[in-house]
Amino acid sequence: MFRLLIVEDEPATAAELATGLTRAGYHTTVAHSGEEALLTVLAQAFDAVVLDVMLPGFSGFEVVRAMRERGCAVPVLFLSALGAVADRVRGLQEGGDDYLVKPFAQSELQARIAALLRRGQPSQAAVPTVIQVGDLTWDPQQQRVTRAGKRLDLTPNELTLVALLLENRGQVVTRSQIARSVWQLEFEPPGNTIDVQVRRLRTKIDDPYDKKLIHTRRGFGYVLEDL
Amino acid sequence: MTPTRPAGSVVRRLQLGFFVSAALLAGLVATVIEWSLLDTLEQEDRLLIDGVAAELAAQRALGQLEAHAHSLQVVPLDWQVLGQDGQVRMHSQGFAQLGPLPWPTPEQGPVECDQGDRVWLLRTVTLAKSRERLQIALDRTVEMQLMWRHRMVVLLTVVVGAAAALWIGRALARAGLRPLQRIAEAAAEIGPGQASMRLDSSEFPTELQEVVGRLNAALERLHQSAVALDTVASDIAHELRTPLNLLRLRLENLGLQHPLPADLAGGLGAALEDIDAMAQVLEHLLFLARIEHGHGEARPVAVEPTAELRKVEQFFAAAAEEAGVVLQVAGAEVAILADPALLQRALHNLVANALRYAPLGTTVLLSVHREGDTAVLAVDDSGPGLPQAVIDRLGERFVRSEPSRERATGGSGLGLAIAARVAEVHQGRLAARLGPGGHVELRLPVAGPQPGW
Repeated sequence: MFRLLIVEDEPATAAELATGLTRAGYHTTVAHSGEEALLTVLAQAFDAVVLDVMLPGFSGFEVVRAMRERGCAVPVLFLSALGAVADRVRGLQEGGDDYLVKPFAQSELQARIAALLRRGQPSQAAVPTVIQVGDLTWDPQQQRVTRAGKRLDLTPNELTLVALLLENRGQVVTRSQIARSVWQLEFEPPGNTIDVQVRRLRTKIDDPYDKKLIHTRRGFGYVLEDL
Repeated sequence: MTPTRPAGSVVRRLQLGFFVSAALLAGLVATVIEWSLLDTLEQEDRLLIDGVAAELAAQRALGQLEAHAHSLQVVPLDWQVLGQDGQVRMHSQGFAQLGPLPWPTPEQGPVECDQGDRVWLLRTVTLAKSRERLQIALDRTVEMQLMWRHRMVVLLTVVVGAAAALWIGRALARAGLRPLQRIAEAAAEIGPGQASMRLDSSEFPTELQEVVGRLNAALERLHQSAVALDTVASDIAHELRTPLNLLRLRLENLGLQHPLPADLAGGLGAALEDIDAMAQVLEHLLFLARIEHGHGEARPVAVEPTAELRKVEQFFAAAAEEAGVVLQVAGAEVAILADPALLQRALHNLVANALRYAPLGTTVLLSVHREGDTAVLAVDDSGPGLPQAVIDRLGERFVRSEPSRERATGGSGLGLAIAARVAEVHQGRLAARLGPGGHVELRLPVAGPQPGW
C-alpha cells in the first residue's frame, strides 16, 4: 500500500482529501503546516506528498526546497488556488513534480498521484501492452482498436481518446484530463465540445453493441469499464 | 469629466501675445519719436521765423530791406511789407507766387497753415516806428515731406518687427512646449504593464517640474492600485477556489461513499457540474485580470496560423458534425509570433461562438490572410452575426448578444473578452463586422524583426 502525506492547513479540506485517498487505497497521513510537513516527511517514509502551496508561515514552495536540500526525493504534487502558468512553472522550478489547480476532481488527483508513483517504477510502464476491457481490445503497437474481433475505424484523435480511457479503465477520466491529454490544451475549452467528442466515439464503440463500455458519471467524468 | 470647449492653441496665444506686445511697443516708440521730432522742428521753425522777423525789421528800419528782396535765399522764406494803408511797399522775389494766405494778426505769433500741397508757418509783425506790417511765410513743405518719409520707414519697421515677433513667438512657444510633448509621449506609453514607469524630472525645465512630479505621483498611485488589484485577484482566487474545492471534495465523497438512488446521484452530478461551471467563470476572470495587468503569460514563438487553425478545426470537428455544420480552413502562408496556447484559447472561443450560431447545413470558415503588416485570422459563419451593440463593446466582459439564449447554450460572456485580450497581448486587436453573417477576426502583426520580442 502506497503511503501519502497530505499537507493542507484547512482541516475540513484535509479530512475530505484523506477520506477520498484512503478510499482509493492509499495509506494517508495528514500534516497541517509547513513545519509539521517537513518534520514528518523527513522522519517517515512516504511514496508521495500532496502539498498545498498556500500554507501559513512556511509555504509549500519552501517545504519542497527544504526537502530537496536535505536530499529527500519523494515526489511532490502541489495543490494550489493559483492557476497562472507562471505559478505552475514556479512550482516545478521549486522542485515539485506536478501542479494541480483547485478546484479539482478527485479522479484527476488520483490519476496524477498514480502517474507520480509510476515514475518511480519505470520498468513496468515502458513496454506497451495490449489492453482489453470486455471485448474491446487496444493494441498500442499497431494503433489498432477492435471490438468483438472487428477492427474499428477511428480518427487519430479518437484513437488517442480511447487509449486514454483504456489506460485509465475502471477510473473516471475528467474533461480537463481529456483536454490536456488528447488536445494538449492548457485551458478548459469553452462549451460542451469534449462531451460531443465522447458522444461521437460512443457511436463507433458502443452504439452497434448491446453491452455499453463507456459510461458517463455525471459531475465526475467518463469511465470505460465492463460492468 | 464634462466636455468643455477646447481652450485653443497655446502656441497661437503666445504668438499673438508676442505680436501684440511687439506691435504696441514699436508703435509707442514710433509715436513718441514722431511727436518729439515734429515738436522740435516746429520750435526751431518758430525761433527761426521770429529771428528772421527781427532781422528784417532791423533791416527795414535801416532802409536796407529792399536790397534783400532779391538776395539769394538759403531758407525757403518769403516776405512782404504792407503800409498802414494796406498797400504793398516791398516784397521778396518769390512772394508774388504765394497766392492768398490766411495771415494771422501780430498778436497771434507764428501760425501753421496747411494748404494740402504746401505747408506754411506764417508770422505778421508790426514794425515799431513806421507801423508797417511785415508778413513772413516760412515754407515747411519739404520738412513735412521728410517727416512723412520718416513716418513710413518707422511704420514699415513696426510691421516687419511685429511679423518677426509673430515668428519668433511661435518658435519660442514651440520650443517651450517641447518638454510637454515629451511628457505626452511618455504618457502614451503608460499601460497596465508599465505602471512602474516614472519620468526623470531632471530632464524637464523648472516650470514643468510640478507637472512631472504630479504625473509621477499619479503613476505611483496607478502602480499601487495595480498591485492592489493583483493582490485582490489572487485573493479572490484563493478565497473562492478554496471553498469551491472543499465543496467539490465533500460532494464527491458523499456520492462515492454511499450508493445513492438514481435521482440523488443525478442531483449530485448536476451540483458538481455547477461547481465546475463556476470554477470556469472564475478561471476566465482571473485569466483576464492577469493578462490585463501585464502579467501577460505570452511566451511567443514563430507560429504558422494555418496550422493553428487546423488544430482548432480538428478539435471542433465532432461538435461541428453534430451541429450539422461544415468546418473549413483556408489559409495563406503567413508567419506570426504568438504564444500557441493563448492563440488556441482565443480561437477556441471564436469558433465555439460561430458554431453556436451557425445554421444547420452551413459552413464555418476559418481563414488567414495578410493585409500589409497584419495577419488576419478570421472566423466566418452564416449566422445572424454580432449585433451593433456587441460590436461597439467588443472585448468587454459579459457582453452577450442574447443574454438568456447564450447562457443556455453555454456562453459565459467572456469568450470575446478573452480573444480581445489575447490579441492585445500580441500587439494586435480583435475586430468584428456587422452581419448578416458572423465575422470576427484576430488582427496580429506579421512576424519580423520587432523590438521587444
